[in-house]
This record gives sequence, C-alpha cells and structure tokens, in this order.
Amino acid sequence: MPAIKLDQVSRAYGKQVYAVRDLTLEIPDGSFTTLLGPSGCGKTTTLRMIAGLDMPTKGTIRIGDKLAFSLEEGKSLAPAKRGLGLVFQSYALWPHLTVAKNISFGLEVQKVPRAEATRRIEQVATALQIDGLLGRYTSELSGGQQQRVAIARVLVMQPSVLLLDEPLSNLDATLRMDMRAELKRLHQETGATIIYVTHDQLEALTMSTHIALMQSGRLQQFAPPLEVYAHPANQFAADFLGNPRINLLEGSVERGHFKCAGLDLALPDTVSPADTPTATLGLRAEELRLHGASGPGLAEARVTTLLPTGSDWYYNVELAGKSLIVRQNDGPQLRLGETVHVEARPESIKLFAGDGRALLAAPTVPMGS
Amino acid sequence: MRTLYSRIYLGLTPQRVLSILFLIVLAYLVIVPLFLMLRETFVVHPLERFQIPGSQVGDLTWAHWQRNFFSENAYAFFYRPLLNTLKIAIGFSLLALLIGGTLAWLVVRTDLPMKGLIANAAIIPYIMPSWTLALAWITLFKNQRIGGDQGIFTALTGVATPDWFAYGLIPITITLALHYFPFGFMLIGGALRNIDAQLEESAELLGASRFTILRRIVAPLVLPAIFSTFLLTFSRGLGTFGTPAFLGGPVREFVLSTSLYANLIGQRPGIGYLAAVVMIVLGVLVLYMDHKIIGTRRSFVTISGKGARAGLVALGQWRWPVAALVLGFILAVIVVPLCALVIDTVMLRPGIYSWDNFTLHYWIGDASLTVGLGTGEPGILRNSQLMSALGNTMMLAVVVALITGILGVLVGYAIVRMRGTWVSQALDQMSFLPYLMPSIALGAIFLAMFAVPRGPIPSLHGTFTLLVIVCTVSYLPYAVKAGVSAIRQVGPELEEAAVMVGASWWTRMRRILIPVQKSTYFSGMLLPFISVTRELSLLILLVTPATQLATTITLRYTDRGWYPYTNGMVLLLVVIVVSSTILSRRLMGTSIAKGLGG
Amino acid sequence: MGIKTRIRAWLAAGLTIGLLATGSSAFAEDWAQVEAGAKEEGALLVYSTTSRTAKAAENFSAQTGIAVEVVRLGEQDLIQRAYQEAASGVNDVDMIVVEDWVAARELLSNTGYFVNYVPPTAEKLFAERHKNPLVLGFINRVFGYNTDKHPDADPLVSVWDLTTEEYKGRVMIRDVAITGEHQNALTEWVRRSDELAAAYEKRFGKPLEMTEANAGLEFIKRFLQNDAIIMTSDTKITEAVGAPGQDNPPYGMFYVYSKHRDVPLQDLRVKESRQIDPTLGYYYPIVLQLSANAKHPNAAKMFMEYLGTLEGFAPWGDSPGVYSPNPNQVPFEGDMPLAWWEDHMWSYDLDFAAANRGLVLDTWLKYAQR
Repeated sequence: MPAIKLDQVSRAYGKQVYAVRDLTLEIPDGSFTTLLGPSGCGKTTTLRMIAGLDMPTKGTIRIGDKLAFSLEEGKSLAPAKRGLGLVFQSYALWPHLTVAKNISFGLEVQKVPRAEATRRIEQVATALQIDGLLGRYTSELSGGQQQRVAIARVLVMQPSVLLLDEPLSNLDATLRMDMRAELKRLHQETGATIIYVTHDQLEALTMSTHIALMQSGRLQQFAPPLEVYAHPANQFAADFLGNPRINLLEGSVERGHFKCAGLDLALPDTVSPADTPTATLGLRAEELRLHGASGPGLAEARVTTLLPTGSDWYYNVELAGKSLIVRQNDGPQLRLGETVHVEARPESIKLFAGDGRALLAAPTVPMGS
Repeated sequence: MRTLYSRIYLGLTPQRVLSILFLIVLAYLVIVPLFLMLRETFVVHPLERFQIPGSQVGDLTWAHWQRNFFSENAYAFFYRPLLNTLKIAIGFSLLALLIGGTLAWLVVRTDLPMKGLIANAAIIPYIMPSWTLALAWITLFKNQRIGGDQGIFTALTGVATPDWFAYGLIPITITLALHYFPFGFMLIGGALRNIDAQLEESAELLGASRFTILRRIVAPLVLPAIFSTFLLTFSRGLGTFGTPAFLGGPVREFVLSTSLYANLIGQRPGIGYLAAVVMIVLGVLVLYMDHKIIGTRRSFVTISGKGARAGLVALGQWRWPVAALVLGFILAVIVVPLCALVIDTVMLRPGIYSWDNFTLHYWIGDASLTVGLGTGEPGILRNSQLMSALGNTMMLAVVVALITGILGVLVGYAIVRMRGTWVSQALDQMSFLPYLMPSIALGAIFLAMFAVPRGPIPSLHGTFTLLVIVCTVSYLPYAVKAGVSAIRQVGPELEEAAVMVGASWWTRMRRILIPVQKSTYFSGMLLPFISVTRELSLLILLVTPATQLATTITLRYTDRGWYPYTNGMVLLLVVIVVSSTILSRRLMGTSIAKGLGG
Repeated sequence: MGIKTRIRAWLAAGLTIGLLATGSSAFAEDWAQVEAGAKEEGALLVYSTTSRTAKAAENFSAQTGIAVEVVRLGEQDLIQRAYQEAASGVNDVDMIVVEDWVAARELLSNTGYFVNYVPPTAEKLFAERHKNPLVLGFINRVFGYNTDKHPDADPLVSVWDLTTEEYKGRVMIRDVAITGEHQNALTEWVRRSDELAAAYEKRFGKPLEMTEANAGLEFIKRFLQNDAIIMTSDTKITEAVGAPGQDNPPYGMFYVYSKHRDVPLQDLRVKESRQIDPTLGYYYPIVLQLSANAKHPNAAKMFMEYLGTLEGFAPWGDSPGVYSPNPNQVPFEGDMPLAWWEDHMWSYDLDFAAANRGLVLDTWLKYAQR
C-alpha cells in the first residue's frame, strides 16, 4: 500500500484565484485520511488532483513509488494507471446500465477475463450485500443501495487507494451512521489507503486515522483526529472541530493567567506566554463546569437555555454578554435564569493570538509543513 | 520553456483537440460564407448599377445600406417589414412554445392516455410543408376578398370571417406556430424527462400547488430548453417566406424575407442580401440574449447518476377531457390537412368531390394523354424518376442525420466541457450561425465556394457529397443544440467514473455519454432528417439530374398546377418520415419511447 | 418503323429544311457537320424554366437517340446557377431555356458565358426579331373576369378602370415583388407613359393628375392604393376569378393565359379581356441560349433546331397562351395567333427594362404595404 506525497501542489484558475495553494502533504500508507474543511476550501480539488481528474498548475504528486504528476517533467499519469478508485459524491452511477453492468464496466474496459470478472463481481456484491440487486437499474435502488453499488463498482477494480468524495452527504442520518461503521470496517478489512473528503467534522473525528484540515486552499493542520481536537494548530482548527462548537473567550494574558470577565485561569508553567491584552482562549463544552456557589477564579453567569440530551445536559449560559455552551453529566439541576458560576478546567490549553495562531497549543507542529 | 511545452502537451485533452478541429472547419464553412454574403451588400451588381448613378459593376458602394436604412422610403422598404417580422416571429415562437411545452408536459409528466399516439403524431406538423397549414387555413376561413369558393367556415355557419382573421399577421402567426410547435415538444420533452422527479415531489410535499410546481420548479429547470426552442423557432420565423407571402399578400402585410426574395428576383442581390444580414443580426441578438439570461444558469446538471423514479402527475378526472382536447387538436392540425392532401390525390379533376371523380390514376396510373392532369405522366408509384428522386432524398436525409447527429454530440461535448472559455463560446455561436442564414443565400454561396477546387478541397460541383456538406452545415445547429443540452445534463462525474477505470475517450462516448442521452441525440438527428426531406431552396442550385431530390423534381408538377402529383409526393414523404422515425425509435430501444412518453 | 429508320427519316427532313431554308450549300454542309458532331457527343444537359422541355427532350431522344437531361429550375435560380457555374469555370450545362431575358442578358449573355445560335428552321421561318435572342416561344399574361357576373360583355375598357372605386379590393395580381417578368412588363408602362396617360384621358375625359414622375408609376400607386389583392400563384388567381357561384368575384391582372387550359376541367367561369386599353396584358419570350463552352454544342444545336419545329414545340402547343415564333404553328382552339397578340399587347424594351425595373420594384414596394 503506497503512501501519497503531494509536494508544493497548487491549482490556480487564472492568475489570482487559487483552489489549492502550495499544498505539501504525505498521506501515510494504509491510513484513513480525511480531507476536511468548509466548502470551497480546496479539499475536493485536492482529491481530484490525486485521482488525476484535475491537473495541478504547480507541484508534484507521487503515489507510492510512482510519479503521478510533475509539471516540470511534463508527466501526468492517466487516472486509471494510478491504482486508485474514486467514489463520487453523487455516486455517478450510469443510469442506462444495470447494477451488474455498472460494476463490470471497468473490468470490461480493462479486459479482465470473464471468469475472473464474474468471480470478483460476486465477491464484492456479496461483501456489500447487493447481490440481490444485480439485475436492477440504478434508478430502482434506494440511496443506501446506490451508495453500495458505487463502492462496489470501485472495489471490484481492487484499487490500492480508495478515494471517497463526501459519500455520505446524500444519505439520511441513520443510514449515515450505518455507513460510517461500514466504511470503517471496509478500511480495516481491505487495509487500503483511504482518502475521504468531507465537511463534516464528526465524520472526520470518528472515522479517520488522520485529518488534513484545509481552509482557503491551504493546509491548516495535519494530524490524527484527537490531536487536532485537543491541540488545534490555530483558532480555525479549534473552531471547526468539535460539536458543539468550541467556546471562544476573548481576554488577556497577565503574568501566566488568562483573564476574562471574572474568569481567571492559571496557565501551566510549561507554556506561559508573554503578557498580551488580546488573546482568545478556546474551551470546549466539557471543559467548563458550573457551580452554584462562587469561588476564586470563577465567573458569574446566567443560564439562558436548557438542552437535555438524555445522557447529558447542555446549558447555554451568558457570561459578560457572551453566550457559552456547557456540557454537564452530573451536578445540580439548574433552572432558566439562575445565576451560576463558571469554572474553566481545560484538558489542554487552546490559546490563540489576535491573528488566530496558537500561542501555546499542540506540542506537535503540524506534519508536513 | 520546458514547462510551457509541458503545459501545452498535458493540456491536449479530447475536448481541446476537438474544439480546435471544429473551429477550423466551422470557420471555413460558416464564417467564410457569412463574409462573402456581407461583402455582397457593398458591391454593385449588374442590374443595380442603373440605380446607382455613375457606378460600374463590381464597384464598392454604400448605396444598398443607405437605401435600406436611411432613404426616404426606408420605412416602406425596411422598417415596416421589420416590425411585421418581429411581431410574427415573437408571436408565433411564444405560441409554439406554449403548445409544444404543454403537450410535452402532458406526455412526459402526466398519466395522459394514448401517449404513444400523441407523441408520434406531434412531430407530423413539422414534417408537412408549412404551406399545407396555410392552405388549410385559407380553405377554412377565407372570405369573399380572395374570391373563389366559399371558405368552409363561412359555408357552414353563414358568418363571413373578417379580413384580419382570414389573412395577415394573425393567421400567419397561428399557422407558423402550428408548424413549429414540434420543436418545443421535442426539446422541452427531452428536458422534462431529465428532471429528477424528487424535485417536483419535494415541492409537492411542501404543499405547493401543481401550478406553483410547474411555475417555480419545472419551468426554471427547463428554461434552457425553452430558450433553445424560442431561438430555433424565432430565427426560422425571421427567414420564412412562403406562409407570410401567401397569407399576408391578400391584405398586403409584408415581412423582411419579402425584401430578400423580391430583390433576388429583381436581380438586386446587394439589397437582397442586406435583408439576410439583418435577419442574421437579429438572430445573433436573440442568441446573445439567450447567453445573457441563461448563461449563468446553464449549470443545471440533472442526470447525476443518482437515479430517482419518475413519478407521473395524475390528471384524475381531467384525464379523459384533456386527452380528448389533445386529440381534437391533433385532428385539426394534422389529420385535416393530411386528409385534404389525400383527397386531392384521388380526385381525377381537382375540386370536384364526387365518387365518379375518384381515381387512383395519380398513384398507379399508366402514362396517359387523355386521363387526368399530368398528360403523359405515369402515376407516382410507377414513375421511375420520382422514385429514384425519392430514394436520393431518403439517402441524403439518412446520411445527413447520421453525420449531424455524430457532429452534434462531438461539438456539444467540446462546447460543454470547455465551458467558460472563449473557444466554447465561439464554437457554440459559430455552429448556430448557419441556422440564421437564409437557405436561398446559403445555397448560392456554397455553389460559388465549391464549384472549383480550393486548396485541398477538390471541386465538389454536382456531387452528392456537396449536398451532404451543405445540408450538414445548414442543419448542424439542430444537432448541436441537442448535443449541448444532452451533454450538459450529464454530470461530468458520469464520464469521470469511466475515466477512473481507464475507459478511453472513445469508449466513454460510445458506452456512457451517447447511450445515456440517446433520446436527446435522437431528437437532434430527427430534425435534420425531417428538414432534408423538405429542403428545396438550399439545394435547388446544387442538384444535378443524377442527384435529383423529391422536392426539386416535384417542382415541375407544382408549376404546371398538377397538384395531385405534388401532394402525392408530400404524402409519400410524410409517410416515409413518420414510419422511419417510429421504426428507429423502436430499434433504438425503449428509452426513446419513454423519452417522448410512448 | 424502327428507331433507326425514324432517325434517318427525320435527319433527311431536317436536311431538306436546312437546304430549303438557306438555299446555300455552305450552310447545308455546316448543318451536316453539326449532325455528325452531335452523334459523337452524346448526352446533353439542359437547364430549363419550363417543365415541358423534359417532354420535348424525351421526344427528341426517341427520334435522334441523343440523350437529353433536363434540370428544371426557377427563373432566377436558373440564371443564378448558370452564372455561378460559368463564372467558376464549371461548364456542364450545354444549353438553357430561360425566362426573364432582361436579367439573363445582363448576367449570361453580356458576360459572354452564353451565346445565341440560330438553327436552320428558325433561320428560315422566324421573324428577325425572334432570332436574336432565339425565342422558343412567347408566354402572354392577361386580365380576366368572371363570366357569370359579366355574361354578355367584357367589363374592362381601360387599365385605369382598375383604379376606380368599382374595382376597389377586387383586383388580384401575383406579387410584382416576386415576379421578375411583371417588373419588366411594368417598365414598359413607364416607357410608354404618354400612351398610358392618353388612355386615362380617353377613359375619363380629363387629363391624368400625377404625384409620381410618370403615368406608369402613377398607375402602380393608384392600383395599390385601390386595395389590390396580392397573391402568390397564378393558378389561385384563375381559380378565384373563375369559381362559379360568386356574388362578387375578383378580377385577375397579369396572370398567365395558359391557365385557361384548365377552364373546362374545373368548370371555371373565366374569360380574358380582349378590349382593355392600351394593352391586353403583356407577352414575353422564353429564350434558348447555347453555352459558350458547351461540351456538346452540336447536340445542343440539334435540340434547338428541334424545338423550333412544330413537332418540337408540341408539348407547349396543347394549351392557350404559349406561342411558337414558327408561323406555321396553329393557335390553340379559341386562342389567337402570336401576331394578333403582338398587335394588342405590350412587351418590353430590354434596355429600358434593365435600367428601370429597379425603379418599378421600389415603387411597388413603397406602396405595397398598406
């Protein structure tokens, strides 16, 4: 299973507009790497450049030991020679062909012997539980079935790298949960490298071994999911991952303490930045505690919303005119309008300068930069 | 340098190579004739020299432009006919859209009964020459003004029709709309079929009324097809001559094409071609509007490979009344004119409708000097000249349909896949231009261009190849329109999915892009096919005895007033075209029958 | 009689006519050469505006064994095609049967692409004015009325009648704009304005008051302002004028007289005016011309000769309104001989027509719109 290396890859439209800019990334062999970011961040373009459907305007792409693209050497390997399989967001099933024909098309093109082809089709069809649907036309299938056919069509070609472009975005919530598990199982069973494009951070967190977070065509952070969650490289990364969204408190750093409207947090000695009047501290919902009584370092706030989920309680509290979300799985039952006292108990310090850079965040630097 | 080379080399995608190829060919076949025609409007021709003091034949002059646009009679020569032309072209295009669109919706989207029949019948008005409808109108509604027998309407009701209803702009608009609505039926039908039914259903779930769904969901989605239809019919309307002359003359309403014909007949081609230039400019304006209005919305990709069942709208209690209405309409515009033609061919002496006047002489009679009109002419089916001309026509129609069909797909592919580049725009617009050129002018120009060898092109004069080229250029717009709308509706990922497994460009076209949109391409081929069978003015200057066509050979009967022969030939063509379209639909699989609701 | 004997007999006859025609042995030798050459040349290509040429060609082929292909073209199409081909150096056509000689002369004859040729019979029998250009036959176009409405007498006295209240909205004419010969004919009304003005004065007893430059153009104006009905087909005009049972039938102007052939067949009640002043309509020639670069010039000459004979003209002889210049041609039953029509009808002057038909067309277009 090859690693995929992108070196200084850019995709520009005209002179000014970049879809992807100077992207350098090494996707480890056998990983489940998610290209994550808001729409328009360049993640799909990156995927298409890896697939060979789009051509970079600069840079080099290697897949294993194969040079897939190099402008300098005037080389662009045909998509089919890259050993990749791509599942499209819309599935791109051919409506005029039956499920069987959809799956066998690539084998026919590659002139795989009939017996071998039949065996492989049966194999993937069974694995994906679509063996009963082979004679149908794709318009007669449900969304989930279409999804499986799309994946089967790709798997039957036995690619070493599987590219998935937002494959779950067209499914309803329950089906999406099932498919996530299934994709993860697929990864474990095949051992293939998977590159997965999504804008859904939860999918990224739950499924991947690595997340490449992108914004405006640039790579923001490349790390395992929990690493990105706990030690975001910048404010954007902190903000993009996590549900509910991270609480961002604007305050100041004074002698090793972060201060904001009565809240006082002693920063660990290992990471005490210089004093600054403007800094932003990121605190996830589970990193805040609510107390009935006041105490040192606690800030006074007022409960504005109660959101029970069954296992947990989410509260919106208003602290100095700013709304924070807090997750509690024990503690007092609070009422609307009640005054509470907020304590910060960060598991990791996510502190950012005015320009969004982490002041002291992850001990690791983003990979590949 | 090396990277530049790499860039060019790596950039040689199929769509780019195709585009460059087509640009060169179209430049020669479209831009050169256009330029030649434009040049004629600045040249003094033999008979024109008398009205341009001091001029010699071949001099350059502004006189034609001055006469047309700025002389004291410019209103009568140009502006008034222009206004009439615009009124007719806009009016009938909208009416044709309304009829064609409604029929298409009923056939594709509802549970209307007898769809197959309706779908097959709805293209017949275009197969029949437009004068059959004009003639039918006059026969029905004429009044005393043009003498002769009473109009049928007046004979039955005793009410004399007013002149404004019997002749002039209103009947011209209506009869042209009835002739051209099949365009809308085919194009909008194709687009409707491609709309994901979920879009409609989801609107229905939100509580939108049927009309709201039509207006807010369906109409915008088929907007590109609607504009294509409008463009095609409008541009044809600009150049139409026969119907406006026939129905407008009695009340003296004239159109721009009158100026073209009158001046060509008056041997003043400079002035005549100027009218043609104006028509082209008007067409280009509509084309431009089309781009402005639709351009940004063109990105509707409706076939994404994510299929959905097509749900039909239930008409409920309206099902049979609507079907009756549609059938009544078809009866009126198709069956009645056709029957009139049939009756004409079996009446020994025209206009005398009695059983003892009934004959099959014009169909199967021997050459006779004493029976019937066509002294010494054998009946149509036994007339070897007519039959061989008919054979030529069918061969030409099939060849042209196939070539334009293939080119349409390829050009359409190049245009869509290069979208947003000047090349795409240039191709799109260039491939449409021949449609705007009046065929009478195009024929003359092609005669001049291909009579002698030029560069690598040998003299094609008198060859079947030349007929094929001329028809291909002239009808390419239909096929390109179909090709563009077909490819546009196929999401690029359907093709990319095939790229990923190593399918060559040719395989992709053959196995994915073409079959997936078969019926749209088929419609695109159908129009050239039908048009060739009726074409006269484009080809009259180019046929030779060996390449005589049904229309050119029928002239000899028309101008002697032997209408049973002319009408018989028209009927034969209608029968052949209808049966071959039905046949090829069957042969090309069920999806086409589904395409037009059969 | 076998084909060969027929050919021989016909050739002998032709030879005799040739000899008699010129009385010169030199011409006879020439014609013998033509015949000999024609046999070598083989199939002949003819463009023709009249479809009956094909019938004549069939008869010709049957007699001589020389194949003739006839392509039927519209008047202007023929001129355009012959001109374009000759200009491009394509010389497939050997001979043309052409109308609108005003335009054809400009484009085909004056350019040298086509030349005149007078075959023996024409040389011998035709009047000089019918030899250059060589005339196949004349067509005449007339004014007509409905005999049910006017059973006793021809109602038309003067062309100016058509501009009076009585005829308002009742006169039909094929659109002058799309009829080259109408344009030519009306130039004669301009050229002979004085006669036209005199006819007005004779009819109404007062001089013609004009806003146009001459009586011809004045007529066009008044005629159109009198709500003339513009049609596209002479057949339709004849039918409209002649249909039985009409209260208020229209009148026809300038429709081809040969349409009267169908009168008995369709039971039409139509008759041409034979007293209208100053002209009963107009007549114009169908002209035969030889390509200057013909590949089969001798065969073409033989065909031209044949068309000048009574036998060759037969396909045209079966209706009124078509007249061979051959004085031996017997008029169709009820029709008058060519000479009579020449006395009672105007034709047109070629040079004047060429110079003025644009003016006529412009005047027509100016007033044609309501």
